[in-house]
Amino acid sequence: MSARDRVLYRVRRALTGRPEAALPAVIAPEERDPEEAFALFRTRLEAAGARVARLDSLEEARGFLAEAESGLQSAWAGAGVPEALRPRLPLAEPERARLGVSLALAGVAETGSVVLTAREGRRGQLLVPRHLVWLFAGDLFGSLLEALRRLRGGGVSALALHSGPSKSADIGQIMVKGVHGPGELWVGVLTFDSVGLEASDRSVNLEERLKGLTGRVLTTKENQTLTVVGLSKPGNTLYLALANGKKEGLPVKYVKKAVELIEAGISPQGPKELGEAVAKALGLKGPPKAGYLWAILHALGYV
Amino acid sequence: MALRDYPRRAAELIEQRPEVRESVTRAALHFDRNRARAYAEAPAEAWRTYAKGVKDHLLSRLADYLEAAEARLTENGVRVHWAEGPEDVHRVLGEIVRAHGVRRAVKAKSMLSEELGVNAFLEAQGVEVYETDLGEFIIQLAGEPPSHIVGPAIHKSLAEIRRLFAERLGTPPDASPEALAAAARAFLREKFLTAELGISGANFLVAETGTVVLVENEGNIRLSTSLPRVHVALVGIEKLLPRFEDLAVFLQLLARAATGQPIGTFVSLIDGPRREGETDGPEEVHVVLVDNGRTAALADLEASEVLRCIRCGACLNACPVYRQTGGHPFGFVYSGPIGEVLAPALLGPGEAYPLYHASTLCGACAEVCPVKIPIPKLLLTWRHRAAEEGLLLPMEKAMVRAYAEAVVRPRAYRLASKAMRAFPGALESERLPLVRAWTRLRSGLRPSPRPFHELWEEIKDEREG
Ligand code: SF4
Repeated sequence: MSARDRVLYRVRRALTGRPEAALPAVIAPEERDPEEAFALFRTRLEAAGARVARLDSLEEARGFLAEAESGLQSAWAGAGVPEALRPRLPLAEPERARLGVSLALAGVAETGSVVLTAREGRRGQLLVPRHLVWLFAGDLFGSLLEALRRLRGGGVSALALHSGPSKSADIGQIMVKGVHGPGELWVGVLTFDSVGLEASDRSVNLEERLKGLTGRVLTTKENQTLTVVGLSKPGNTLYLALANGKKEGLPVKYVKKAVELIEAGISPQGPKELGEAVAKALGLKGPPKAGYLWAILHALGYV
Repeated sequence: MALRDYPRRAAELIEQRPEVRESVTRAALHFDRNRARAYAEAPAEAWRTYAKGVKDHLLSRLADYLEAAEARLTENGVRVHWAEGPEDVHRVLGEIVRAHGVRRAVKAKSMLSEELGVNAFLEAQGVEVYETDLGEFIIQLAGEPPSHIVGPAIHKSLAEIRRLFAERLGTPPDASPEALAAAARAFLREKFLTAELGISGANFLVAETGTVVLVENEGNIRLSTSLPRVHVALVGIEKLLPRFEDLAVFLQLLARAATGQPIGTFVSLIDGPRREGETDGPEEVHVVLVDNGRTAALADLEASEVLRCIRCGACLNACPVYRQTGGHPFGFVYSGPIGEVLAPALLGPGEAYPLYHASTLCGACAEVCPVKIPIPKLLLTWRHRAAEEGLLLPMEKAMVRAYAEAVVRPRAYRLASKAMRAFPGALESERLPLVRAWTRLRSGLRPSPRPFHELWEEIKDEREG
């Protein structure tokens, strides 16, 4: 018998004849409207020693970034940070960078947390002394439960909730910041375009806008969540991670054709119609991954 | 360290090192005040009832959940190992050390690893082991075991830590706490960047998704589980949670109970090794599911309530006995109220004697416990069982017998209590050896101005009226 068998055997023997205790239903969290959620989010994070700003325009966001950069020599940025919000400082490896800039998958008001994905690179979230995290206001959840439901199985190796600067009171009960992780946490909440910056800016070429979606969590019309993993190197395929951990590749030519059709004046009512139109135009047999296609076009601001 | 010597060690500590009592009391009361405020701000009662229910359900179906967790972990690319005790864990670690040529390991705080003697084992294999939680790092430098589940170094004063760091890290003798922390950070940063192995425990393991969940305030756990090539998580089999959604309450309740925060500063939700498209993270993740006495506790219906424990330390902070000494005199990995009931459940009442006597039964621990473990009731159970097994000292036996004789004779009892009230000084007399033994380390005994049976009559009348 292996250790596994012996442990499981002992557990089963210990429980023989013991009735199953009922599993309590999950407790429904308090509902919060977006204003309340933001106020609580800010209160919690500030109490933990973080800086929080509500940014209503790209200019304001750039100003916040410039303030975070001032006096520093180098920065690191996560893969999903939109071009317009990446640091202007020379880039450096996380070991040397003084500032790290990340894009949060979500925010949680109840606990004052930003949720970060390993896809962005974990070192940059941890080794820098100052960490600036962008959060799209639309990704802020009132409760931890709602955020967990949305983030579950995002297809990455790890998620992390950061709820303030690194701290410790292990030395004589005196609070010290920046013990191992970043000693400063700056959170910029972007209210001006919850859909994505370049993503909906039609003057930027489509490929760049698709790249700008990297790291974003999208929801299909059927309420399925998916994470945009990124564009393949030659730029032919947009990779998506599904909630069940599977990966999907969406051919970019479908997206291009859909955009073309919409710009030419069709206005599809839903994924099915859009899929059929694209299939017809490209001479495909069946409708092409219409649900994902719809979610992408939605993020790009077309539907 | 024999647990039996707890009373002697506690007495020596209080007499010889009064500063420990001071540091521990201050820190524990600070934690407890924060907990009380944090409970008051949240639906703590509803959460505690829910958390107890979830753990009770989990334990009642533990085998199924363990199998489910194993299946999810394996799907996620995690290598799962099982361990009955320290030897199995050592074997797994030994294999990993050899396969990866590990020379250096960084450790995130894990009480289970203390149970299993992980550091000593790895060091014997020629591996350098660094505790990276600041408190753990301090006690590792000092060569001591942790004194508290959450704040392992709470017994150490700033002055002591200054001396220790000056000696070991070359900091100035009057360095500020910030400077001391910076020195530790610089020293350990290099270890994080070069270690091949990261070892952690787990606060929770979600059976439904195979997610290993870790909570901390410093960032050292995220670093230990992100930078080295290999991450090994040691997980007690009772650490499981059925559903991913259960984390919503457990993460908040744990933080509020432990330190009064709304949530730990850093929460890691680990679903496996680095995936395609990710630029860092470990190449291998191992989870070791550890029994080490837990199945024996599970088999004992009453004692098994201790398996709900989420190691928040709130019962330690609330305990007037723990606060006099901190954890060291207990001589067991877990100290304070939870240690007093875990020790007999994991080691048996004989081995654990007399830890379950280190309590006034005031009930403060049960009042704060986030998973409602009835610690005072369990203490009584163990005392009762110990008495049945003949584990009482002869002197205790004689005293209990004398008391029993007196209480069943109301007249004699009242006479004795009247006499005491008439000569209150008698109980402070240094001439009585029993009194001397008591007052050597405690304030004097003073009879209550009115006897309990009188007070009781009043209370009863009030309640009934
Ligand atoms: S027994 Fe309860 S209060 Fe004590 S450490 Fe465990 S969970 Fe916390």
